Amino acid sequence: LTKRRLPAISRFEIRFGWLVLLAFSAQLFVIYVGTGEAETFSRFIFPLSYVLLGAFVVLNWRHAGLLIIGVGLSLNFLAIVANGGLMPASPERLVAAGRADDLAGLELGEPVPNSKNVLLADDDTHLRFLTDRIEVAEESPFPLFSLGDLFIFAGLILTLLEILLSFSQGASRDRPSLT
Amino acid sequence: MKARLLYLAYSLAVVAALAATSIANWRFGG
Repeated sequence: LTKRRLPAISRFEIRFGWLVLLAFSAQLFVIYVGTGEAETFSRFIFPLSYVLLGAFVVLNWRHAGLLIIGVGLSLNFLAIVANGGLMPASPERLVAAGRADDLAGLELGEPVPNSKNVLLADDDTHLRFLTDRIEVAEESPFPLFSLGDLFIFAGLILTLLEILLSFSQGASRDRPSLT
Repeated sequence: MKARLLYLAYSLAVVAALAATSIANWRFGG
């Protein structure tokens, strides 16, 4: 007879995943539903959502990929907090990234619709090197991104590899042994 | 196996949400 093992949960264990889902929901709410005239509320919710993500990363510090994502979100958090609660982007950068349409009727200092950006001139931007300054293809879902985003991309790839590797190892453990 | 697949789906959903929420400029919607 072959002993059958009970299916083991993957070794990649995520704790407190609800923190991420809560932060994600809060950002979706602010971006899609909006807060009307209460713009201050948006500028409070965004940094708060990064605090929730930071807590999640700390609670899951054993995963290298998540730690790298943590570095990236810390950089983004610094840029956001230093500029009043939203990620700054200058009109020139938005135009170069193919988002000129977003500028219609927008004044400097106002949030850019359907994004986490605030329109700020370069001279009025704090920690400029951490803000959305890197342009890619116009049709990309990320037409403009920051230094922190690069860390997040790298951490994301590492985390996905870690999850898939852990899953495939678990699957092979479940196969009946031939010996 | 089913439990592990569900956990895989949950892990991927959390990581996807983490990336989307962390990235400074995901262009949500239009």
